[in-house]
Amino acid sequence: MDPESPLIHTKHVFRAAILLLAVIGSLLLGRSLFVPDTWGEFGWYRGAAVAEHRARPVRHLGDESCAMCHDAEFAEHAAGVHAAVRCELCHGPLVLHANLEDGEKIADMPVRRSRELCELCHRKLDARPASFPQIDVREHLTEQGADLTPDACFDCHDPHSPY
Amino acid sequence: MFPELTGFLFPNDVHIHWSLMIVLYPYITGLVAGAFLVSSLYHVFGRDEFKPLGRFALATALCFLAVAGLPLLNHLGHPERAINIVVTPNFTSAMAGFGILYASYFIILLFEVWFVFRVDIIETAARSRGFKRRLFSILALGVYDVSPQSQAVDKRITRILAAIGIPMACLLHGYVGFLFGAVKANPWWSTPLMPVIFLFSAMVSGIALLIVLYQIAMKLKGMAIDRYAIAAMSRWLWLFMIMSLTLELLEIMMLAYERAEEWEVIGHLLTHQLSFSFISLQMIGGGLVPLILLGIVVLMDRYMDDRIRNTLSMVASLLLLLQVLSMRWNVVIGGQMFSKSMRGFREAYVPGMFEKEGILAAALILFIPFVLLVIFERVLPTFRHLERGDDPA
Ligand code: HEC
Ligand code: HEC
Ligand code: HEC
Ligand code: HEC
Repeated sequence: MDPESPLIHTKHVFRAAILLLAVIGSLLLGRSLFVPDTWGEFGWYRGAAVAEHRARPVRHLGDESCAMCHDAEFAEHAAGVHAAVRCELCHGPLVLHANLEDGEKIADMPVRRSRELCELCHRKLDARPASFPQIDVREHLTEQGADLTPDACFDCHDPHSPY
Repeated sequence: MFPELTGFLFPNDVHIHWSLMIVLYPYITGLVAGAFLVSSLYHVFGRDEFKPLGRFALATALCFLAVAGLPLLNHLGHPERAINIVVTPNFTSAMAGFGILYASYFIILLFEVWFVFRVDIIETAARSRGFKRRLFSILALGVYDVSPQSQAVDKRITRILAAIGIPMACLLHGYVGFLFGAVKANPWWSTPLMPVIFLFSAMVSGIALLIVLYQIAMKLKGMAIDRYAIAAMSRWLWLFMIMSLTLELLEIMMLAYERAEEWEVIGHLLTHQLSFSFISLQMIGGGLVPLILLGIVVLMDRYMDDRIRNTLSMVASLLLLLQVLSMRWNVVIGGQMFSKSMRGFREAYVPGMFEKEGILAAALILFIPFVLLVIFERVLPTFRHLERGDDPA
């Protein structure tokens, strides 16, 4: 460059400007790499997600799926006030526990023998419909003459058929 | 265990999902915005009293900005999905602004730092050997021009970048306030004042942080604390804290005077669940007390011994750092402690020590920028221009 040029002292600025363009360019390039191919096909999400979700194996199979191996619990539960509460809600998804095809158990089913499980639905909350059975745990236990222990509820209520 | 509940709560009001991490995030971006403003007061507006701090403030802003996203990442159950909001932002949500605001501000800040420290980078390259030399010559982008003309160019560009940086810093932080201000279901958040309050308290926390860090840095380096810098920063701090306190009180007075249905819960919240963090910390310990201390520093400046000024401004700054933190807490956590029904509360939220989003994690995240700052200081001394006695930038 001509040594008289006033631009001679701005060489670093041009280098910085090129660097800036490179940064912006790589951000845009990086973005295009990260945006999934089927993005925006149907809306503001990855189009392929729809098919992927459809292809996912069913994990919860409903109360009837337990009947084959736990007919006693199933019958007791279906006849009680908790008939509307799914087995897998208190326990866990069937697929983790047993294989319906070969009738084999895969792993233990969680058993939540704790009063928190019951409180999840029955703890007194003013916002719950008044017709839904709910209790103030302390009061209820005192009334029934029981102690506030982690598994207090099970001395009197069978979770499968509380009455 | 389930939290204690009183009154009419919807089941989805029972848990506090926006944890301590979400308190930390606006706190850190606020520190960035405030520190950046101090450096801009020198670089853009040429306020010479901030000269000793111009570069240090810039480095502080950069180090804190570098960790601003960490609390959010730690809050997410799937941090790897954070990239989605950045690459495919849906602008019907305010949060989509994050990627663009954060990236552009980061780039501006990096370039400003580069132009301010360019001469030091070149000098370091010239002084060192081997790998370090290679590294610094790459950092200098291969140009070793330290002529006065090139430095004049640097200065002009620094000024432009700092000027662009001011609205960017305000946007980045104002948008955080906007996120809360725009939640229409929550009367404790939903006010157009929210971004403004966030901005002013950001300035307060940033300036307070610099007063503290500057004094510590000078002590460690055995350099003299510049009395004009401290006096000037105390003045600005006083101004911004008065504004921010006024706005915070204004918002509450409006709510209290209007006595709309939300005052039932908000009034109760402030005087009961939040009484310590709001009345004791935000208003009295972190508000009234520093107001008086800084008032003394500002109004009696001429009669004041340097040591007294330093001590008073230090104490006031530490209190104000606490005040802004408690203000963030009261906004973020307070807003989740009452039900959207306006008729019920959950018990106060106490973060655990070792939880994923607990106190230890928060302390670690807050600690990182200080480490970064020490490293920065090792690599590119921010006070060298004072030792040299020449002009920065
Ligand atoms: C293919 C047969 C099969 C099916 C279907 C099945 N289970 Fe089981 N389950 C077992 C076997 C086997 C055991 C182990 C019994 C034992 O140890 O006495 C078991 C044990 C359990 C236990 C006790 C676990 C423990 O640690 O004590 C629970 C709870 C349970 N199953 C729940 C369910 C539920 C709920 C379903 C339906 C969603 C279900 N099971 C479906 C075979 C099955
Ligand atoms: C309201 C929640 C709830 C529902 C609904 C429920 N369970 Fe249970 N289940 C429990 C609890 C709690 C225990 C542990 C009881 C105990 O230890 O006394 C348990 C225990 C069991 C056991 C182990 C029995 C034993 O004595 O070890 C089996 C098997 C079982 N459940 C199967 C079922 C099946 C099958 C269904 C649906 C038909 C079902 N459960 C529905 C809560 C539930
Ligand atoms: C997933 C929610 C859910 C959980 C968990 C649950 N329940 Fe229930 N419970 C119900 C529903 C639904 C009913 C039926 C209410 C109705 O008939 O209106 C019911 C009914 C009852 C009743 C009869 C109340 C009445 O007056 O009819 C009792 C007692 C009871 N549950 C006890 C328990 C205990 C003990 C546990 C813990 C092991 C428990 N429940 C866990 C949902 C739940
Ligand atoms: C000492 C025995 C005892 C214990 C322990 C106990 N209950 Fe009960 N519970 C009863 C009896 C008896 C009733 C029916 C009488 C009534 O309605 O007051 C009842 C009723 C209920 C009802 C229905 C209330 C209504 O208004 O319809 C619920 C829900 C319930 N219990 C949940 C629980 C839960 C949850 C626990 C554990 C925290 C628990 N109980 C512990 C004895 C007990």
